[in-house]
Amino acid sequence: MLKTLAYRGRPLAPTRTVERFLFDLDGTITRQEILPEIARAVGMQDEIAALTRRTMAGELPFESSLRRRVEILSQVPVSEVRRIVAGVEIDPHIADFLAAHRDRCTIVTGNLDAWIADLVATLGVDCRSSTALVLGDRLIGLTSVLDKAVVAADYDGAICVVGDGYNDLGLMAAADYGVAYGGVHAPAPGLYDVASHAIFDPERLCELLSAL
Amino acid sequence: MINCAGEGRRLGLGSTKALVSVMGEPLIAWHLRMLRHVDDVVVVVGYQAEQVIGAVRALRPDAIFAFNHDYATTGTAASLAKGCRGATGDVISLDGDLLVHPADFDAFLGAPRPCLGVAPATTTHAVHARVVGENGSTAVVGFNEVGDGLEWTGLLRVPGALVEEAEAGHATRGHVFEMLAPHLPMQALHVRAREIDTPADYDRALEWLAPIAHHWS
Repeated sequence: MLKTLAYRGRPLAPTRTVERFLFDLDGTITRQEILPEIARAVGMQDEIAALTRRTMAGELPFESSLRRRVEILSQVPVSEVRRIVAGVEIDPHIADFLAAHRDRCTIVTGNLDAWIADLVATLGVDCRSSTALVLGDRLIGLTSVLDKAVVAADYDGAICVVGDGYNDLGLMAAADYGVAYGGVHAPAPGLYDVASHAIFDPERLCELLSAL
Repeated sequence: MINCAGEGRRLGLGSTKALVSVMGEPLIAWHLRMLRHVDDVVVVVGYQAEQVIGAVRALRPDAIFAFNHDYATTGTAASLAKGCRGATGDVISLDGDLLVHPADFDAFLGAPRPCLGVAPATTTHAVHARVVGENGSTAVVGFNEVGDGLEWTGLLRVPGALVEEAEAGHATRGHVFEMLAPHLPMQALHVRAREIDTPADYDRALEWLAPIAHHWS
Protein backbone atom coordinates (compact mmCIF):
# COMPACT_ATOMS: atom_id res chain seq x y z
CA MET A 1 0.00 0.00 0.00
CA LEU A 2 1.37 3.42 -0.93
CA LYS A 3 0.50 6.83 0.34
CA THR A 4 1.23 10.05 -1.49
CA LEU A 5 2.57 13.02 0.42
CA ALA A 6 2.58 16.68 -0.47
CA TYR A 7 4.56 19.70 0.65
CA ARG A 8 4.26 23.29 -0.58
CA GLY A 9 1.78 22.16 -3.18
CA ARG A 10 4.04 19.64 -4.86
CA PRO A 11 3.73 15.90 -4.49
CA LEU A 12 6.36 14.10 -2.48
CA ALA A 13 7.59 10.62 -3.22
CA PRO A 14 5.10 7.95 -2.20
CA THR A 15 6.23 5.92 0.78
CA ARG A 16 5.31 2.42 1.70
CA THR A 17 2.85 1.83 4.50
CA VAL A 18 2.13 -1.22 6.54
CA GLU A 19 0.33 -4.01 4.72
CA ARG A 20 -0.06 -6.36 7.67
CA PHE A 21 -0.42 -5.78 11.40
CA LEU A 22 0.52 -8.81 13.50
CA PHE A 23 -0.88 -8.70 17.02
CA ASP A 24 0.05 -10.76 20.02
CA LEU A 25 -3.10 -11.87 21.84
CA ASP A 26 -2.44 -12.40 25.57
CA GLY A 27 -1.86 -9.15 27.43
CA THR A 28 -1.95 -7.17 24.17
CA ILE A 29 -5.43 -7.56 22.69
CA THR A 30 -6.64 -8.99 25.99
CA ARG A 31 -6.18 -7.09 29.21
CA GLN A 32 -5.19 -10.25 31.03
CA GLU A 33 -2.93 -13.18 30.23
CA ILE A 34 -5.35 -15.93 29.24
CA LEU A 35 -3.67 -19.05 30.65
CA PRO A 36 -3.45 -17.63 34.19
CA GLU A 37 -7.14 -16.76 33.92
CA ILE A 38 -7.94 -20.37 33.07
CA ALA A 39 -5.71 -21.54 35.90
CA ARG A 40 -7.36 -19.20 38.39
CA ALA A 41 -10.77 -20.53 37.50
CA VAL A 42 -9.67 -24.07 38.31
CA GLY A 43 -7.39 -23.32 41.28
CA MET A 44 -4.02 -23.89 39.61
CA GLN A 45 -2.96 -20.29 39.42
CA ASP A 46 0.31 -20.41 41.35
CA GLU A 47 2.12 -22.90 39.16
CA ILE A 48 0.78 -21.41 35.92
CA ALA A 49 1.56 -17.86 37.04
CA ALA A 50 5.15 -18.79 37.83
CA LEU A 51 5.59 -20.50 34.45
CA THR A 52 3.98 -17.58 32.62
CA ARG A 53 6.12 -15.02 34.41
CA ARG A 54 9.34 -16.86 33.65
CA THR A 55 8.33 -17.37 30.03
CA MET A 56 7.45 -13.70 29.54
CA ALA A 57 10.84 -12.77 30.91
CA GLY A 58 12.60 -15.13 28.54
CA GLU A 59 13.87 -17.42 31.29
CA LEU A 60 12.08 -20.49 29.91
CA PRO A 61 11.82 -21.53 26.25
CA PHE A 62 8.30 -20.77 25.12
CA GLU A 63 7.66 -24.19 23.63
CA SER A 64 8.60 -26.23 26.67
CA SER A 65 6.78 -23.80 28.94
CA LEU A 66 3.63 -23.99 26.82
CA ARG A 67 3.76 -27.78 26.77
CA ARG A 68 4.00 -27.82 30.55
CA ARG A 69 1.19 -25.30 31.01
CA VAL A 70 -1.08 -27.12 28.56
CA GLU A 71 -0.37 -30.39 30.34
CA ILE A 72 -1.50 -28.84 33.60
CA LEU A 73 -4.60 -27.23 32.11
CA SER A 74 -5.60 -30.07 29.79
CA GLN A 75 -7.62 -31.62 32.61
CA VAL A 76 -10.08 -28.76 32.26
CA PRO A 77 -12.87 -29.50 29.75
CA VAL A 78 -12.44 -27.49 26.54
CA SER A 79 -15.95 -26.07 26.84
CA GLU A 80 -15.07 -24.76 30.31
CA VAL A 81 -11.87 -23.14 29.01
CA ARG A 82 -13.80 -21.47 26.21
CA ARG A 83 -16.32 -20.17 28.72
CA ILE A 84 -13.49 -18.68 30.79
CA VAL A 85 -11.78 -17.21 27.72
CA ALA A 86 -15.07 -15.61 26.69
CA GLY A 87 -14.97 -13.66 29.94
CA VAL A 88 -11.46 -12.28 29.42
CA GLU A 89 -11.50 -8.53 28.97
CA ILE A 90 -10.63 -7.21 25.51
CA ASP A 91 -9.05 -3.80 25.09
CA PRO A 92 -11.80 -1.76 23.40
CA HIS A 93 -9.41 0.50 21.45
CA ILE A 94 -7.54 -2.42 19.96
CA ALA A 95 -10.80 -4.25 19.24
CA ASP A 96 -12.00 -1.18 17.34
CA PHE A 97 -8.73 -1.03 15.39
CA LEU A 98 -9.05 -4.71 14.46
CA ALA A 99 -12.63 -4.18 13.33
CA ALA A 100 -11.68 -1.16 11.22
CA HIS A 101 -8.67 -2.86 9.59
CA ARG A 102 -9.87 -6.45 9.46
CA ASP A 103 -8.21 -7.26 6.14
CA ARG A 104 -4.80 -6.01 7.34
CA CYS A 105 -4.69 -7.62 10.78
CA THR A 106 -3.65 -11.07 11.98
CA ILE A 107 -3.46 -12.40 15.51
CA VAL A 108 -0.21 -14.31 16.07
CA THR A 109 -0.33 -16.24 19.30
CA GLY A 110 1.22 -19.26 20.94
CA ASN A 111 -2.14 -19.96 22.52
CA LEU A 112 -4.22 -22.96 21.37
CA ASP A 113 -6.75 -22.86 18.56
CA ALA A 114 -9.13 -25.05 20.55
CA TRP A 115 -9.20 -22.60 23.45
CA ILE A 116 -9.37 -19.27 21.64
CA ALA A 117 -11.52 -20.10 18.61
CA ASP A 118 -14.60 -18.30 19.94
CA LEU A 119 -12.60 -15.26 21.00
CA VAL A 120 -10.93 -15.03 17.58
CA ALA A 121 -14.30 -15.36 15.88
CA THR A 122 -15.62 -12.50 18.00
CA LEU A 123 -12.66 -10.31 16.99
CA GLY A 124 -13.25 -11.24 13.35
CA VAL A 125 -9.66 -11.35 12.14
CA ASP A 126 -7.28 -13.97 10.80
CA CYS A 127 -5.32 -15.91 13.42
CA ARG A 128 -2.12 -17.94 13.54
CA SER A 129 -1.83 -20.06 16.67
CA SER A 130 -0.55 -23.26 18.19
CA THR A 131 -2.82 -26.22 17.57
CA ALA A 132 -4.14 -29.05 19.70
CA LEU A 133 -6.02 -32.28 19.28
CA VAL A 134 -9.41 -32.36 20.96
CA LEU A 135 -11.58 -35.42 21.39
CA GLY A 136 -15.05 -34.78 22.66
CA ASP A 137 -14.60 -32.13 25.37
CA ARG A 138 -11.04 -33.17 26.24
CA LEU A 139 -7.76 -31.73 25.06
CA ILE A 140 -5.56 -34.69 24.20
CA GLY A 141 -2.35 -32.82 23.46
CA LEU A 142 -0.49 -30.24 21.39
CA THR A 143 -0.12 -30.92 17.69
CA SER A 144 1.99 -27.84 16.90
CA VAL A 145 3.55 -24.94 18.76
CA LEU A 146 3.67 -21.75 16.74
CA ASP A 147 7.14 -20.30 16.27
CA LYS A 148 6.16 -16.67 15.88
CA ALA A 149 9.47 -15.70 14.33
CA VAL A 150 8.81 -17.68 11.14
CA VAL A 151 5.48 -15.95 10.49
CA ALA A 152 7.16 -12.81 9.12
CA ALA A 153 8.35 -14.72 6.05
CA ASP A 154 4.75 -15.33 5.00
CA TYR A 155 4.13 -11.67 4.17
CA ASP A 156 5.63 -9.77 1.23
CA GLY A 157 4.72 -6.23 2.24
CA ALA A 158 5.74 -4.11 5.20
CA ILE A 159 4.64 -5.58 8.52
CA CYS A 160 4.10 -4.12 11.95
CA VAL A 161 4.26 -6.33 15.03
CA VAL A 162 2.62 -5.43 18.34
CA GLY A 163 3.53 -7.53 21.35
CA ASP A 164 4.70 -7.61 24.92
CA GLY A 165 6.42 -10.96 25.51
CA TYR A 166 9.78 -12.49 24.91
CA ASN A 167 8.26 -14.85 22.34
CA ASP A 168 7.43 -11.77 20.22
CA LEU A 169 11.09 -10.82 19.95
CA GLY A 170 12.04 -12.83 16.86
CA LEU A 171 8.99 -11.68 14.92
CA MET A 172 9.50 -8.10 16.01
CA ALA A 173 13.14 -8.19 14.93
CA ALA A 174 12.04 -9.23 11.44
CA ALA A 175 9.34 -6.56 11.17
CA ASP A 176 9.45 -3.14 9.52
CA TYR A 177 7.79 -1.71 12.61
CA GLY A 178 7.75 -3.31 16.03
CA VAL A 179 5.81 -1.90 18.95
CA ALA A 180 6.90 -3.07 22.40
CA TYR A 181 3.52 -2.67 24.05
CA GLY A 182 3.08 -2.23 27.76
CA GLY A 183 -0.67 -1.91 28.11
CA VAL A 184 -0.94 -4.55 30.84
CA HIS A 185 2.62 -4.91 32.11
CA ALA A 186 6.05 -3.70 31.06
CA PRO A 187 7.31 -5.24 27.81
CA ALA A 188 9.67 -8.21 28.25
CA PRO A 189 13.38 -7.49 28.54
CA GLY A 190 14.99 -7.45 25.13
CA LEU A 191 12.02 -6.11 23.20
CA TYR A 192 13.38 -2.57 23.42
CA ASP A 193 16.48 -3.76 21.56
CA VAL A 194 14.52 -4.67 18.44
CA ALA A 195 11.42 -2.46 18.61
CA SER A 196 10.87 0.68 16.56
CA HIS A 197 8.47 2.02 19.19
CA ALA A 198 7.41 1.51 22.78
CA ILE A 199 3.87 2.48 23.78
CA PHE A 200 1.95 2.01 27.03
CA ASP A 201 -1.42 3.55 26.20
CA PRO A 202 -3.88 1.64 23.98
CA GLU A 203 -5.43 4.74 22.47
CA ARG A 204 -2.03 6.12 21.48
CA LEU A 205 -1.06 2.72 20.13
CA CYS A 206 -4.03 2.72 17.80
CA GLU A 207 -3.39 6.33 16.75
CA LEU A 208 0.10 5.39 15.64
CA LEU A 209 -0.99 2.19 13.92
CA SER A 210 -3.70 4.05 12.04
CA ALA A 211 -1.06 6.38 10.63
CA LEU A 212 1.33 3.67 9.44
CA MET B 1 8.78 15.45 19.44
CA ILE B 2 11.70 15.44 21.85
CA ASN B 3 14.96 13.95 20.68
CA CYS B 4 16.68 12.26 23.62
CA ALA B 5 18.66 9.57 21.78
CA GLY B 6 22.19 10.91 22.16
CA GLU B 7 24.86 9.97 24.64
CA GLY B 8 25.60 13.51 25.81
CA ARG B 9 29.32 12.79 25.95
CA ARG B 10 30.35 16.44 25.82
CA LEU B 11 28.54 17.10 29.07
CA GLY B 12 30.60 14.36 30.67
CA LEU B 13 28.13 13.28 33.36
CA GLY B 14 27.76 9.65 32.32
CA SER B 15 24.05 9.93 31.65
CA THR B 16 22.03 11.00 28.67
CA LYS B 17 21.15 14.68 28.82
CA ALA B 18 17.43 14.04 29.27
CA LEU B 19 18.22 12.66 32.71
CA VAL B 20 20.61 15.39 33.81
CA SER B 21 19.37 17.08 36.96
CA VAL B 22 18.14 20.64 36.46
CA MET B 23 17.12 22.30 39.71
CA GLY B 24 16.41 18.90 41.23
CA GLU B 25 14.51 17.34 38.34
CA PRO B 26 15.60 15.51 35.20
CA LEU B 27 15.79 17.83 32.21
CA ILE B 28 13.09 15.82 30.43
CA ALA B 29 10.63 16.73 33.20
CA TRP B 30 10.96 20.40 32.23
CA HIS B 31 10.08 19.55 28.63
CA LEU B 32 7.10 17.48 29.66
CA ARG B 33 5.74 20.25 31.87
CA MET B 34 6.05 22.64 28.94
CA LEU B 35 4.17 20.12 26.79
CA ARG B 36 1.42 19.28 29.27
CA HIS B 37 -1.24 20.78 26.97
CA VAL B 38 0.11 18.94 23.90
CA ASP B 39 -1.79 15.73 23.19
CA ASP B 40 0.69 14.01 20.90
CA VAL B 41 4.11 13.68 22.52
CA VAL B 42 6.79 11.49 20.91
CA VAL B 43 10.15 10.95 22.59
CA VAL B 44 13.03 9.55 20.55
CA VAL B 45 15.24 7.35 22.70
CA GLY B 46 18.54 5.56 22.19
CA TYR B 47 21.27 5.72 24.82
CA GLN B 48 19.90 4.66 28.24
CA ALA B 49 16.50 4.17 26.60
CA GLU B 50 15.01 2.19 29.46
CA GLN B 51 15.84 4.88 32.01
CA VAL B 52 14.51 7.66 29.79
CA ILE B 53 11.31 5.71 29.15
CA GLY B 54 10.88 5.23 32.88
CA ALA B 55 11.36 8.93 33.62
CA VAL B 56 8.95 10.00 30.89
CA ARG B 57 6.27 7.43 31.72
CA ALA B 58 6.11 8.68 35.29
CA LEU B 59 4.89 12.02 33.95
CA ARG B 60 3.38 11.16 30.55
CA PRO B 61 2.12 7.58 30.39
CA ASP B 62 0.59 8.38 27.01
CA ALA B 63 3.89 9.31 25.35
CA ILE B 64 5.00 7.35 22.30
CA PHE B 65 8.67 6.30 22.29
CA ALA B 66 10.51 5.93 19.00
CA PHE B 67 13.86 4.15 19.06
CA ASN B 68 17.00 5.27 17.29
CA HIS B 69 19.12 2.18 17.88
CA ASP B 70 21.93 3.65 15.80
CA TYR B 71 22.29 6.73 17.99
CA ALA B 72 26.04 6.27 18.36
CA THR B 73 26.71 6.42 14.63
CA THR B 74 23.97 8.67 13.26
CA GLY B 75 23.28 12.38 13.41
CA THR B 76 20.24 14.21 14.67
CA ALA B 77 18.36 13.84 11.38
CA ALA B 78 18.10 10.08 11.82
CA SER B 79 16.43 10.56 15.19
CA LEU B 80 14.06 13.14 13.74
CA ALA B 81 13.10 10.68 11.01
CA LYS B 82 12.43 7.90 13.52
CA GLY B 83 10.19 10.18 15.54
CA CYS B 84 8.30 11.43 12.49
CA ARG B 85 7.17 8.00 11.29
CA GLY B 86 3.43 8.02 11.25
CA ALA B 87 3.18 11.79 11.68
CA THR B 88 0.17 13.02 9.77
CA GLY B 89 0.57 16.79 10.07
CA ASP B 90 3.23 19.24 11.16
CA VAL B 91 5.91 18.09 13.54
CA ILE B 92 7.38 20.36 16.18
CA SER B 93 10.72 19.02 17.26
CA LEU B 94 13.17 20.05 19.91
CA ASP B 95 16.35 18.45 21.12
CA GLY B 96 16.29 16.97 24.59
CA ASP B 97 19.09 19.28 25.68
CA LEU B 98 17.23 22.50 24.83
CA LEU B 99 15.30 24.58 27.34
CA VAL B 100 12.79 26.84 25.59
CA HIS B 101 10.80 29.55 27.33
CA PRO B 102 7.24 28.14 27.46
CA ALA B 103 5.68 31.35 26.12
CA ASP B 104 7.92 31.19 23.06
CA PHE B 105 7.14 27.53 22.59
CA ASP B 106 3.44 28.40 22.58
CA ALA B 107 4.17 30.78 19.72
CA PHE B 108 5.60 27.83 17.85
CA LEU B 109 2.46 25.86 18.47
CA GLY B 110 0.52 28.69 16.88
CA ALA B 111 2.88 29.21 13.94
CA PRO B 112 0.99 28.99 10.66
CA ARG B 113 3.78 27.48 8.55
CA PRO B 114 7.18 25.83 8.70
CA CYS B 115 9.51 27.76 10.94
CA LEU B 116 12.77 27.54 12.85
CA GLY B 117 13.56 28.83 16.33
CA VAL B 118 16.57 31.15 16.50
CA ALA B 119 18.25 32.85 19.44
CA PRO B 120 21.34 34.91 20.19
CA ALA B 121 24.29 32.53 19.96
CA THR B 122 25.37 31.38 23.41
CA THR B 123 26.08 27.69 22.91
CA THR B 124 29.64 26.38 22.76
CA HIS B 125 29.01 24.35 19.60
CA ALA B 126 26.39 26.54 17.94
CA VAL B 127 24.79 25.98 14.55
CA HIS B 128 24.79 29.57 13.37
CA ALA B 129 21.84 30.85 11.37
CA ARG B 130 21.80 33.64 8.82
CA VAL B 131 18.52 35.49 9.16
CA VAL B 132 17.13 38.19 6.84
CA GLY B 133 14.09 40.45 7.14
CA GLU B 134 12.63 42.43 10.02
CA ASN B 135 9.45 43.37 11.90
CA GLY B 136 8.22 39.89 12.49
CA SER B 137 8.85 38.71 8.96
CA THR B 138 12.26 37.14 9.21
CA ALA B 139 13.59 34.04 7.55
CA VAL B 140 16.52 31.71 7.97
CA VAL B 141 18.41 31.65 4.67
CA GLY B 142 21.56 29.77 5.66
CA PHE B 143 23.27 27.73 8.35
CA ASN B 144 26.75 27.98 9.83
CA GLU B 145 27.38 31.41 8.34
CA VAL B 146 28.70 33.35 11.31
CA GLY B 147 27.89 37.03 11.25
CA ASP B 148 24.41 37.70 12.57
CA GLY B 149 25.19 36.42 16.04
CA LEU B 150 22.21 34.09 15.92
CA GLU B 151 22.10 30.35 16.32
CA TRP B 152 19.47 27.87 15.29
CA THR B 153 18.28 26.33 18.54
CA GLY B 154 17.24 23.02 17.01
CA LEU B 155 13.59 23.95 17.45
CA LEU B 156 11.66 23.43 14.25
CA ARG B 157 8.19 23.08 12.83
CA VAL B 158 7.89 21.27 9.50
CA PRO B 159 5.43 18.91 7.82
CA GLY B 160 6.16 15.34 8.85
CA ALA B 161 5.97 14.54 5.14
CA LEU B 162 9.07 16.64 4.50
CA VAL B 163 11.08 14.49 6.88
CA GLU B 164 9.57 11.33 5.47
CA GLU B 165 10.65 12.34 1.98
CA ALA B 166 14.11 13.28 3.19
CA GLU B 167 14.45 9.83 4.73
CA ALA B 168 13.29 8.17 1.52
CA GLY B 169 15.95 10.21 -0.31
CA HIS B 170 18.67 9.27 2.18
CA ALA B 171 18.96 12.88 3.32
CA THR B 172 18.68 12.00 7.02
CA ARG B 173 22.16 10.57 7.47
CA GLY B 174 23.67 13.72 8.96
CA HIS B 175 22.37 16.60 11.00
CA VAL B 176 18.94 18.16 10.82
CA PHE B 177 20.30 21.52 9.63
CA GLU B 178 21.91 19.74 6.67
CA MET B 179 18.61 18.06 5.89
CA LEU B 180 16.77 21.39 6.08
CA ALA B 181 19.25 23.42 4.02
CA PRO B 182 17.61 22.62 0.63
CA HIS B 183 14.26 23.80 2.02
CA LEU B 184 15.42 27.28 3.06
CA PRO B 185 14.31 30.00 3.37
CA MET B 186 12.07 29.18 6.31
CA GLN B 187 10.38 31.58 8.67
CA ALA B 188 12.51 32.43 11.71
CA LEU B 189 10.91 32.78 15.12
CA HIS B 190 13.02 34.32 17.85
CA VAL B 191 12.88 32.31 21.05
CA ARG B 192 14.42 32.54 24.47
CA ALA B 193 16.28 29.27 24.91
CA ARG B 194 19.41 27.64 26.29
CA GLU B 195 21.06 24.48 25.04
CA ILE B 196 22.98 22.26 27.43
CA ASP B 197 25.82 20.68 25.52
CA THR B 198 28.91 21.22 27.69
CA PRO B 199 29.53 21.86 31.39
CA ALA B 200 29.82 25.58 30.59
CA ASP B 201 26.43 25.48 28.81
CA TYR B 202 24.94 23.73 31.82
CA ASP B 203 26.12 26.47 34.18
CA ARG B 204 24.85 29.21 31.85
CA ALA B 205 21.48 27.45 31.48
CA LEU B 206 20.99 27.18 35.24
CA GLU B 207 21.85 30.84 35.69
CA TRP B 208 19.37 31.78 32.94
CA LEU B 209 16.66 29.49 34.26
CA ALA B 210 16.70 30.34 37.95
CA PRO B 211 14.76 33.66 37.79
CA ILE B 212 12.23 32.43 35.20
CA ALA B 213 11.70 28.82 36.33
CA HIS B 214 8.13 29.61 37.46
CA HIS B 215 7.06 29.81 33.81
CA TRP B 216 7.37 26.03 33.61
CA SER B 217 5.12 25.38 36.60
